[in-house]
Amino acid sequence: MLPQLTANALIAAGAYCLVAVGFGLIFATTRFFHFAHGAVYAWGAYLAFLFVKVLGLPLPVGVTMAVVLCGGLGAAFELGLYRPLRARGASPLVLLLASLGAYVVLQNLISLFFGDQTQTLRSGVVREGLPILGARVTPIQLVIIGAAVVLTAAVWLLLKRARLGLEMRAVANDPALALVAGVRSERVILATFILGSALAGLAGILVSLDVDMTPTMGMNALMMGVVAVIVGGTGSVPGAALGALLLAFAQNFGVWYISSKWQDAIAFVVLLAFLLFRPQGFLGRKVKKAGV
Amino acid sequence: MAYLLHILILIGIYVILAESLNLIAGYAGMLSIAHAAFYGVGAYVAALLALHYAVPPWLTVPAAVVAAAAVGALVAWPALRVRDDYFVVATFAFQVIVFSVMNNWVGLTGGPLGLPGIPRPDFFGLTVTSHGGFLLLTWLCTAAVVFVCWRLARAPFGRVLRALREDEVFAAALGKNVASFKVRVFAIGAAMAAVGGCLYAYYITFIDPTSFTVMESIFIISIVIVGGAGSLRGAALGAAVLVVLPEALRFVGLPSSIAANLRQIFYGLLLILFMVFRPQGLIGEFSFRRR
Amino acid sequence: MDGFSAEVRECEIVGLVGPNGAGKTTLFNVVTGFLHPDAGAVTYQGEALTGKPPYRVARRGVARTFQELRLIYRMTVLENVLLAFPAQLGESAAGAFARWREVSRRQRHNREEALALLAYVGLAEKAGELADELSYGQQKLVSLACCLAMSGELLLLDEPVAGVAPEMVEKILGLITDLPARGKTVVFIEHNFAAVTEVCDRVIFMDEGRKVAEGTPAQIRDNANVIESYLA
Repeated sequence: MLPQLTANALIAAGAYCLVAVGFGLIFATTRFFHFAHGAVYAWGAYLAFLFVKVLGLPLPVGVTMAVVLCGGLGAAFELGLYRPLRARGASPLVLLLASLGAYVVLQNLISLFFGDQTQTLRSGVVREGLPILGARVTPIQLVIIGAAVVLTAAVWLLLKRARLGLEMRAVANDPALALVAGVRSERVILATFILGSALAGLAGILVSLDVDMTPTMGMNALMMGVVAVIVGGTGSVPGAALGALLLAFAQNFGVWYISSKWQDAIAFVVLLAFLLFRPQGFLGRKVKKAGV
Repeated sequence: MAYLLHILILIGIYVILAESLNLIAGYAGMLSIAHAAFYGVGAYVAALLALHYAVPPWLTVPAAVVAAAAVGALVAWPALRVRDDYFVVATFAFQVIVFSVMNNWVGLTGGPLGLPGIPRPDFFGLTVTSHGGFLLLTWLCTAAVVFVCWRLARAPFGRVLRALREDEVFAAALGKNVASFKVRVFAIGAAMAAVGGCLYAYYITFIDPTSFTVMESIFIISIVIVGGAGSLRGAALGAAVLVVLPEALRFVGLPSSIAANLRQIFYGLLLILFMVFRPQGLIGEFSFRRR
Repeated sequence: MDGFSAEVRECEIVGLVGPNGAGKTTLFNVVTGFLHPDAGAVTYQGEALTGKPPYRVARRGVARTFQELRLIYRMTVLENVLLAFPAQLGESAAGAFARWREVSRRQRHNREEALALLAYVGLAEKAGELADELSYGQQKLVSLACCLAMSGELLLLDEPVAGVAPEMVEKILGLITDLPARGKTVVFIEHNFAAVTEVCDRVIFMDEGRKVAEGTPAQIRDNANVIESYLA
């Protein structure tokens, strides 16, 4: 039992982590909650479905194209919606609302084009899963964990070493100062959206290879990403990963005591606890409340 | 004809929901996507009391109102701790938790299958069954709710709410107990939303969790934003516009599932467009921007 | 703050001066409850105020203005002043309903008082305008009127004449000088030492969170430590 629960938690954590790292990166540099991130996740899965199942392209090709297009979708959001809004002096709240509107539109477009029924990316029979350390894990589930570990580490390295990463941190830390220091903030933000959205799209694809896809899958993924980022601490990649792990373990081990249908509620009670008592999460920066 | 009455009843209910959210989000500036949760609490409490204990409406409605007010006061709590966009996330959390309870506590709420067969409201012998009767009942409630909002907005209470929206530090320095006002306005707004919930439950005689989701909350906040935050007439206007316009889709002969998607796309787009071009809505006062 | 201690007597006008970052606004924030001290106490008319939230301190009778000039810009001048009146029945939801007639009566009374206050500060004809439309100096007058509307006896003014045109400086200083006659006590932060000399009975000089010197304006001006603080 224990090994399987651990495995399930790690798989869930992997998926959450991919979503959370992208979401967290965008929040850190732009300082607002890009709720439409959930729509990008769902669109990743459905684009892959379109390329692989409808157009018949080989899986790796379809997946790559879908991930790239998701990056493009993120860029479209930034260039078409958020940048104009920021130019008009929009507050984080206004950006959040616009983002909500975008989410609603995109989720419904999926329903319109692909229907509300569950679609699958898989081509074979449902397999049982390889026995590993006492648990059963399917190959795709291993890929999810692997991708999460590799990509999170890659993003972390990017932020620590690469020029673009340093610029991202500068913008996240102090946008005005970054500008003065010669960082082209707008370009950096665009890069952040492309990277974060590509991660989200990939997450959506991998998860749908594991458990199929529905139009509302984005909402749930988004929720978990938000919880992971806030619990782990905004502005921190290890934080997002830590938050994803904590959340996944809390949910999966919570099944021991409470039925699994309460997983969402558990996640949000955890979120509220953090918002009330430690809004900066474990590793994040202090969240400002109105004050002198 | 019945269709027309049905639309008017829906408008009445949504005016109640919009005006009550407008008090919280438009006047006090506390944007919330938990309003469908209050709406749902009201509907479920009234429905459960009426179904299982044959409690008459003049008791179920106050019970629903009190229950929703309690939940509302709870939702206000994070507003005392975190800034406005984090607070929206908190309201999102409350909304999902309440939905989870509605959907998963099968013993209490019937779970995903909902509660069918809610009895018609019986006011001391007079049972409301016809569309016309419901129209009258709904709009009486709507008028009452609008009156309450109007009074509160015009009183010094409303002035303090607007001050909270603009500069709560200044309000505190003037001696206003900011926390108390925030909790109170949420409780009152939630209570009024519950009235809408009761009407809905008695009218449709069947409720299930799918009517009280995050999407519904987003719809209600869209009404407030499109109509104009901080304006009583704006909230009513927004409700009329966002309920009526999508109905036009019916006459184009589209299958209902597509119409449902298009309706959501419609208000999603409106939300985006208004945020970009006219955040103060059609006739509103507040545009969600801090100075 | 570093071991700061001071006393203010009734109907005094005290000036609080010192270089930037000396802790003057911090002191105001501690007194009015926006910041809680790690040690020490704030006592007002014999009652302890330490650790009380700002709204309680305000209700006890301590009114303040802010360095960055806070007002409700989207409301009219009159509404801003009306907001400041204490203990308004109409501010309770129940009151707004159950006792509407009484609330209306009190509102009318408050309006008259508010207009009188605005006339006193010379802004009677601006009552119906949005606070946003006034000049900076006029906005400072409004915030002063709000303090008076609060009917507290202690006014803490944070840079009341900073950034204001010369004629307006004279006007505001004139009003401040008049306050003790109305039973008010004033402490104000200023960088404009001429203004301080003109108006204050006593001056406290702060630097690095400490009280460096205290005395009449003339004594402070000639104080060696003060001069050194400014030169350092």
